Amino acid sequence: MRDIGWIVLKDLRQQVRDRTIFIFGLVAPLAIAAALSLAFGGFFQTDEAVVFEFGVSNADAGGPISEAFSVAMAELETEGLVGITFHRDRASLDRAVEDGEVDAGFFIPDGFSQAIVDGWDAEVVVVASPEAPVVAGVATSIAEQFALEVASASAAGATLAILGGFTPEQMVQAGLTASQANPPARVASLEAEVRRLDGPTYYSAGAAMFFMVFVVGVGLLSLLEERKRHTLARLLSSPVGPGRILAAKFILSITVGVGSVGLFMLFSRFLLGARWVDLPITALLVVAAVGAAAGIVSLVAGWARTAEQAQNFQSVVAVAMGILGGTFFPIGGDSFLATLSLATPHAWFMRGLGDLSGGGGLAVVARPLVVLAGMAVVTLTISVLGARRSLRP
Amino acid sequence: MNTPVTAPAPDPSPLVLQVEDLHKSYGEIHAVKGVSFQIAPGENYGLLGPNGAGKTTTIQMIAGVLAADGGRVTVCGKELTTSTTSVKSHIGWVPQEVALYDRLSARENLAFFGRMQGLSGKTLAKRVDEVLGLTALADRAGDKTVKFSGGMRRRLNIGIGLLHQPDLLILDEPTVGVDVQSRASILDQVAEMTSRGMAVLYTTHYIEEVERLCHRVGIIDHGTMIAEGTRAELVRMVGERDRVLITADGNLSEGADRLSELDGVHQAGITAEGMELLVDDAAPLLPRVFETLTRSGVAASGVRVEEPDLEAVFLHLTGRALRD
Ligand SMILES: Nc1ncnc2c1ncn2[C@@H]1O[C@H](COP(=O)(O)OP(=O)(O)O)[C@@H](O)[C@H]1O
Ligand SMILES: [Mg+2]
Repeated sequence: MRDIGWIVLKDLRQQVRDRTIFIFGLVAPLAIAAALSLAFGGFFQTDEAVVFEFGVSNADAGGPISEAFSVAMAELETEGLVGITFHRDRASLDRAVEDGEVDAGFFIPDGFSQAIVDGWDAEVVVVASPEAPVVAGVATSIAEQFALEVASASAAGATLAILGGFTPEQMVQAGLTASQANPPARVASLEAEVRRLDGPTYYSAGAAMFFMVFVVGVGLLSLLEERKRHTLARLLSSPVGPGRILAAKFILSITVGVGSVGLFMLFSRFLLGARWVDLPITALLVVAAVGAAAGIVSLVAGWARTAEQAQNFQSVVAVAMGILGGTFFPIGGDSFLATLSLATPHAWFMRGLGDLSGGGGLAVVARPLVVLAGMAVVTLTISVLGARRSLRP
Repeated sequence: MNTPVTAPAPDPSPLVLQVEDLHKSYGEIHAVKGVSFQIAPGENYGLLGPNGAGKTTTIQMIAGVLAADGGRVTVCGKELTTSTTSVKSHIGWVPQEVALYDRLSARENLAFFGRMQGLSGKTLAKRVDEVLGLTALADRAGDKTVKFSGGMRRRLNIGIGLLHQPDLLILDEPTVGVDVQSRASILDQVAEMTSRGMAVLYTTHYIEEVERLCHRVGIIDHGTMIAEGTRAELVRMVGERDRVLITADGNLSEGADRLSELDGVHQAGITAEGMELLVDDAAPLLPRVFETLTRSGVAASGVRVEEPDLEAVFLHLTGRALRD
């Protein structure tokens, strides 16, 4: 067993001397962390879990659709997802945003409901500071989500109108009623992503996962490298069994992956004010996510014939999963993208951290943990079986 | 009457290596077609053959690095396959290509591979130092091997195979692409190992190396062992004999007559400079030749032996030159 340890140590020593691992494992994530902290500086300084404060100003008072929007927002507030204040007019809303009283505002223009009923384009205006792109993004998503609901509601209403001879107003009303539970629920599911992990923690976790994937293939890569340099044949001629060589490469990947995430979490704690709770369980999530990422990378890069090729495959996987996994922006709702996102360890890792942030320990992260562990076991098993064919001179 | 009780004969010192009917194909290429040979303890065995003959493939199967398609390798009495890990420590395999970690120093490379061979603690430290001395790399021990010259890398490559003092050292073309000086020092190193009693399997396509180092030689071509034996046996096998050219004066015809009666002398003739003999093996015969000449009243002033070499043997067996 000790020989496995010596192989891992030897590989780590080589990696450390190579230095590229530092770039992906530490320097790049830190640079991103610094950039994030500059970009979202003010926003990220909050220490409590973020509850977005939204202002709503309705110049279309009494309109059925604008009222529905207000109701939906109010519902979000009672669920504790956001804070809502209502403002007399656009000017007071703008001021509130400017003064930072609210994070962003929604302005519903006069005649909004009628315009929709008449089939014209009408928009909920999002008022946000350019210095807070994250919150602006969230607000925009809410507004778009609402617009989507209205559109589908009008379609439903139009059908009803044709069938039942409703007035246009009645039909929109009917349509909205038909899908009543939906708008708040969907907005909530989108919002929940951000609510549950505060900004700095969300983006730090995302960056940590994103960069981890760039280094987690190190086990497979070093195996290919050893084959190219003939040292693999030399190892095979020694009393160390092939299984142990693979075990060492697997441990190397996990060690480097966990090390990269761990270091980044540590730095982000101080640089960005990320909050990591329940460390033992967070650690479990990290190990499971790293295992899953290592498995996926090894599976894909296992098709490569050379170390260089494998390196490229690894980068492609890292970028694709990083974007898909929502490490840069939350992917919510039940869109196709959101479903696809669940194929990445990133999404499950973030979800696990989110679940954990509300307290509750192991029980609340059981699902993400099991999914991650499952991903890891399946992909690693397949890739280890595949790697066996690389174990020749 | 007592029936003599015969004790079971003590196991004769077991063979270090026994190779039986090894086969290996790479797809369509049948690279090794039933190679068999044996190596006794302390023996230096040369595997001689042109490029592509199947030497490396054979050796990789012996070292347990490459799985054989058929046949059997027994090392120190135990069967060796790619998965019989414990048997592998009997062997020190030096691959044809230099196999080192560039970013580790010479000492770190040695220590790592020593550990892989199960060495540790003081034994490991001692062996690493010894090998550094043996390979004349002690003063560069701390340098990363990426900075080493080709010859230094080759020497370290061999040194790693010696770390655990194996029963059988296997060297695969250790002098290919090496400068003259390093080559000489590598050959010295191998000769030294042999003289210390380590069995050696040495592959090469250089005849001089085999003639200088090896007790016995197997000639391999197209994946088949085409001849095997000591140098003299091989030469005799193909009917080639040593020519002994003697510069001499005196009663030459008397000398020639007497010499032709000697065992091992096939022909003795008179030439312009003296005489010419055709013999089986010149070296052991020469003292008696001179004794006979003196008694016949011939004064010999010089002698030159022309041995048919393994090149000639290969040419005879295959109709091709060993090196193209
Ligand atoms: N990995 C391989 N894949 C396919 N063919 C190979 C491989 N290794 C060797 N060969 C072929 O097998 C034959 C024997 O090669 P090798 O054992 O390297 O010979 P040698 O060491 O005597 O030069 C050659 O024809 C060579 O081209
Ligand atoms: Mg070869």
